[in-house]
Amino acid sequence: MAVFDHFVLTSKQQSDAWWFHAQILDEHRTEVVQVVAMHIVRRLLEPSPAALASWMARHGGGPAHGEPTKTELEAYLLSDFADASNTTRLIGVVVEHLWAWMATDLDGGWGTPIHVEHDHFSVIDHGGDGLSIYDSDAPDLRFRLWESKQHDSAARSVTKVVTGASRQLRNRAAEYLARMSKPLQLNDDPRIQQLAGNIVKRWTTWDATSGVGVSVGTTGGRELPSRPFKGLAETFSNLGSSRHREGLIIEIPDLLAFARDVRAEILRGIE
Amino acid sequence: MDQALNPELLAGALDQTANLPSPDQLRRMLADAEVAAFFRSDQGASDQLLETAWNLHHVGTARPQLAIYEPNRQVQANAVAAHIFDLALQADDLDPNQALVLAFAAQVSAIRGDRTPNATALGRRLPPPSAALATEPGRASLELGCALLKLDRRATITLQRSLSAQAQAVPLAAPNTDLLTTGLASAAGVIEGVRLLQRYLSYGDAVSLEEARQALTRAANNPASYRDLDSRWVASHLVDLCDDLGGSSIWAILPDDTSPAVGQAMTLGDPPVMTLWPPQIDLLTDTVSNPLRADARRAVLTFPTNAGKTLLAQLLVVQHLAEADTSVCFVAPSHSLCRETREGLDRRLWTLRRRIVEDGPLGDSLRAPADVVVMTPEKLASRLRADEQALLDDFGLFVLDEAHLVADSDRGWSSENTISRLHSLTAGTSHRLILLSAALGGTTSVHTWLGTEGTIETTTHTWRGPRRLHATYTYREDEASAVVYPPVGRQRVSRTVTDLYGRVDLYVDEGAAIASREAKIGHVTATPSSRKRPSRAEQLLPIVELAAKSGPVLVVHATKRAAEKLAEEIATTREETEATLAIVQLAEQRMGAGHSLVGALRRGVAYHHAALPADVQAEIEDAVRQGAIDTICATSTLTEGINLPVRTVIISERGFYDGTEFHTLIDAASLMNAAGRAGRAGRETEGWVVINYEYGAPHPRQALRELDQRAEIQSTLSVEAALEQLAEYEALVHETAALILENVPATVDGFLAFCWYLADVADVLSPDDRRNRVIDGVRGTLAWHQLPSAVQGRWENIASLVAASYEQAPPVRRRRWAKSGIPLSANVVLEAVAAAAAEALDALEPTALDDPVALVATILEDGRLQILLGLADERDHRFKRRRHGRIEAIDVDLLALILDWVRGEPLKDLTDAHLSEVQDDDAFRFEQLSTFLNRICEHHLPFTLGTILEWINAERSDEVNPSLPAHIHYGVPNAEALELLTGSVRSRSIAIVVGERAADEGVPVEGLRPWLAGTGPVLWRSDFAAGPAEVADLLNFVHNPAAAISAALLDGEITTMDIDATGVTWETADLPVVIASGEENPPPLLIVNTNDEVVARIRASEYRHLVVLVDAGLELLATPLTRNNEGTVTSIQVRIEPD
Repeated sequence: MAVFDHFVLTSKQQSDAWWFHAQILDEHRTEVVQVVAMHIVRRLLEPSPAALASWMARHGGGPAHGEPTKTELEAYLLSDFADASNTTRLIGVVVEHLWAWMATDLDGGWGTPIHVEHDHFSVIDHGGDGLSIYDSDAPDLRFRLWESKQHDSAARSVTKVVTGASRQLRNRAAEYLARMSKPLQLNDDPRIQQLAGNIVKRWTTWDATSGVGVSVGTTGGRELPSRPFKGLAETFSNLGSSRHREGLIIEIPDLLAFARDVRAEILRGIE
Repeated sequence: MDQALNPELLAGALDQTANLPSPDQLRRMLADAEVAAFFRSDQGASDQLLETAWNLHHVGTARPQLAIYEPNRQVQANAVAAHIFDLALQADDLDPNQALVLAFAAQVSAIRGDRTPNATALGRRLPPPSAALATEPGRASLELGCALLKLDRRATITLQRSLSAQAQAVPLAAPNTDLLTTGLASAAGVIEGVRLLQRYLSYGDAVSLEEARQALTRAANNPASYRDLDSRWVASHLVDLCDDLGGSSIWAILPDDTSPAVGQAMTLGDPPVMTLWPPQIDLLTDTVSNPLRADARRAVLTFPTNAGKTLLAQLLVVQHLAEADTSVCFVAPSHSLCRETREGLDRRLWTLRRRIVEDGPLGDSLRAPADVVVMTPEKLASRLRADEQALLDDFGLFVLDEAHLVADSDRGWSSENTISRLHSLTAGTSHRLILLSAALGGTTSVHTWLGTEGTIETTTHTWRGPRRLHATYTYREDEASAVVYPPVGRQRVSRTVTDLYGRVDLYVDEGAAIASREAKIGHVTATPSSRKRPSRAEQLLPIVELAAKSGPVLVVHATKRAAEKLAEEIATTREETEATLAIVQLAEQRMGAGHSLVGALRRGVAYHHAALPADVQAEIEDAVRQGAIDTICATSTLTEGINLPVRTVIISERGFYDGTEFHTLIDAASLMNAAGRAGRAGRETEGWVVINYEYGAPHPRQALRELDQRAEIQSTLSVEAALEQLAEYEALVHETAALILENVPATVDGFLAFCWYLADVADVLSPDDRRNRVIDGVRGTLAWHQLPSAVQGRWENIASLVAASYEQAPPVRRRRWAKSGIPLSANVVLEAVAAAAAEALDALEPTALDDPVALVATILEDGRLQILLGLADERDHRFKRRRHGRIEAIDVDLLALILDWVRGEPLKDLTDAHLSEVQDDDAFRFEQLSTFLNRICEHHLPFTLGTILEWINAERSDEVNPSLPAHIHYGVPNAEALELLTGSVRSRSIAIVVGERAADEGVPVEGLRPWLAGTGPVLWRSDFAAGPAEVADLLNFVHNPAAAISAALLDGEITTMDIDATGVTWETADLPVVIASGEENPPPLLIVNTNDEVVARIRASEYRHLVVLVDAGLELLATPLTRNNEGTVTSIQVRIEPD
């Protein structure tokens, strides 16, 4: 099944931003937990297919691992999931994976996505930043820089989370773009090479091909504010129009419980 | 002005990009950040600065093939980006992972911004690599990328081997699975790419460079590992850097037909030179001025401090040795620099199987055959005078370092006339003459002198690796803080106490200070009749301590006492440290535990001046280089005599104020020289020069301005003082129209000596021809390219007098005076002494002729020593009762002192025995003794005695010991000790101890090396109490370069050698030879088994052969060859495992 078969997707075109509201289907919750856990495990075990095979076998009910295998799996998988009491980190990791899962399927009216950089891991762990590159039938490609955040606090509104993410993007965009675009200067597509060669300048000078996006994973059951992406618009008012600004709100009831379920699913293949 | 904050650079980098700071804004932001970093407050870079840096980094590092930005703008953008990243990296609270990313970005921009040394410096700041490849592939790639860009071959190869081993051990799903299809693909590509790139840089293998490019390109966008952003980021930068590093590597610069050994001498020597710096590349790729060209017979190479002059000189020497069949004469102006030069070249010449030695002291006529001989200008002059043809037969290349010495008031003329004569002698031969200097090239007359007009100035004088920041340190009394205290107790008047602030102002151009910061440093207490401020040392203390937190500090003083005072003041604020234990022991041994230097050294602080024993000076210099001492207070002896760069140079005093006027002791040239020590290329990214305010002196701002000016080099014959002396001498000879040799002004006396020499070497028969040849000779000097013709004529008239006088002289005197090299008038004195000494020697018992002490006594007794001392400056052999107050000379039996010195008596015993009348001040006793030993025993006496001895021996049927000048120079009584000291041992005391033991055991001088090698460092420490530096010197001494084991191994040969086994069982497998990591210093070379147990120790005789290879990152493997009856391995075969 495609990602949006598990979610209800609503598109809203406000003057602040064009944004999507993705709400999980209750009956799909257990399945989504498994899919997200598998998604995470596959990615984290990319360096070691042998370890992935071991995890899959144990997860599917196979015998317990020997100590060396278990140690190896813990080394790969538990960097973000070892400490269950660190709920902020736990939710953050799950939300980032959710956004990465959905990112390639979003159509924000900005052209056809032809390359998406997302779900990276890095020593500086700068969160769920991503870069989508679009072809809009114009000579120059367009791009959108993304930031992914979690929201699970009654005391803080989604709007504030978006505003915080927007400021982080504004302060760190040059670094994010410089790092993500450097390998793309060796991409096979000459247009991507060119974009990657001057993407930071385009961003800095608010070039018409620049765009920004913020994704928020939030606990369901609360009414969304009327203008959740107001902070995004204010921070990036220099960007030409609302189409330059895109948003995504992923709504999952009891997000913390969801994240803990994902963690438990991952641990099933280790213990 | 430094380029880093140059408005043009900043404007070029920013290129009017909207939403970035303006050049002026950026300049101020950078300057504020610099000063904040100096004061260690608000360190790092603001968000706005960092955003700008990432922008510029992206512009600067965009692939050139995309042709988006102008190349020059990219260089400028990178230079500025690297600067900002560097500031960001100075923040104390920076996350280590963030630091790793910033460091890599900074290194990339430094290299692509033409600041390669800074990439090395940035890499050195990083903690040791620690990433596990399987779980931290991105971190592993970043650490490996940083190691590569540090351009440290050994560090890179060690890490690359470790990561390759980890890659081999990664469990894969199936036997045939390739790591490059997993999420580790990009990291694996980086590891392989770095291996190949390193291989190219080390060996010039062009195929490896292309393969590196391909491996890294795949790694940058391998779909299997696209999430590993760090590895991809590193890989994609390294793809571009294949071009940059490839283009600036030694292999790209050397002509195609150059022997590979030349390149390997640079890349595998120590330190490894993987790439060249912009000024070097500019020069070596210039079709006209490239001194590597075989037909480049003359060159004047001007390189600013920290621009790679030393390395270039090494390259010239190495290339000459590989291409020509003649030796190299390398001239450096001090013994310390000679030693530094020898050691530096020695670490490279092993690849060519060539040998380098330092020539003996002045007066010592013995010559060691070698491929490179390092000597002082005076020794070169002496060898030229002794036998011109022999000198030209010996050497095909003459490299004269610090050639601006020609302008030195004391030593300049000798250097100038030697170069002139060499230039003239080799006008039609293939001999090459290359002058190196930081200041010489800008002087047009220098180029016309040597016929090098039309060659490029090798670089702009503004290029530097580390940026250099100029600041003043001034004081401000805060009137608003004044508090009046009424008199208390016995006080009669009230006191006003005001806060005193020390203020640092940073200047980047001719304008006002661009950034300032101040800190409270004490109080000023004033009464109506007095003002009490903190002492100068107290005022300087805060800024010295601040600077020391960022790197080593050199405080330059005008007087020895000022240096001692500040060092003592700083020491009072510090705890004792174990880091200086070795040098503390040495200083105690030499000067006694009560000497004030010992107390300072215990706390990591040193003072350094000419009145310290030479070996203590050398040990202090080494301790600063190694980081054991972070603050050194020195006179200009240090800055003039040796290349000892530090991070911060603080000019404490430039002279003194006597109440009416300021007397300058450190002139503009010395100041420039001292300032040149700020910033160690490859060690730091910046250097600070801070000039302290002094009452009565020109404002420090003015002194800073002078640092940016380039002084013209003037011949000592063309300066005003020389012209006054010329007039004085003209008046003297006016009456007689004949040569007069009494009361001759010093400069004229030197000129007369050169003319006499020219007269002697003129191979002519008629007086007129001789006169013409003498005048031709003087016309070949630099002076004749600077003097107006009228003054030339006056000097030529004097030259004519000399030629005429020469004609009248008896043949023996003609030749002797020409060869002596002393001022002409002094020859008369030496002749009298020689005649008397010859008589005394005739009366000596034959057995006494074997005793150097008896010989010295015989030659110098009966007042002859006093006559010889009369030729030296009286202050060099005068001893004062007390340091301060009225000068009161004490009677010292100088001959007895000299004889005790030659007997090898320790310095402490010499002061106790001969200087007990000096009052209550150990330091002052040593200071005076050291001055005497340095000026008289190490220089004046060997020089004059050498001349006398040569004259005496010419008349004798037997030969009086020609090593006598060396015995006096080194202060040792036997040939064994002399052999050690003329080898590579610096310590007089260890030479004496070892020499006595060798003599006791009947070891002949020629058997000294194998005898010592057979014992080894463990016994040297226990039997001779040898310290770390002494052990290192003895290891150098026992090294036999002719064995060329390192070069043979590098050529793929297998070498056999005996070892010292430990008894641990050796399996049959190959075992690595490694440098021990324990506390033993120098670290031994060990063979270790798979359990990390030490199986054997490499012997002293092979130590240096193998350590250079291990240092170069080459993997040495040892295999057992023979075993004794107990089965213990006694000899091995060693080979290199290819990279």
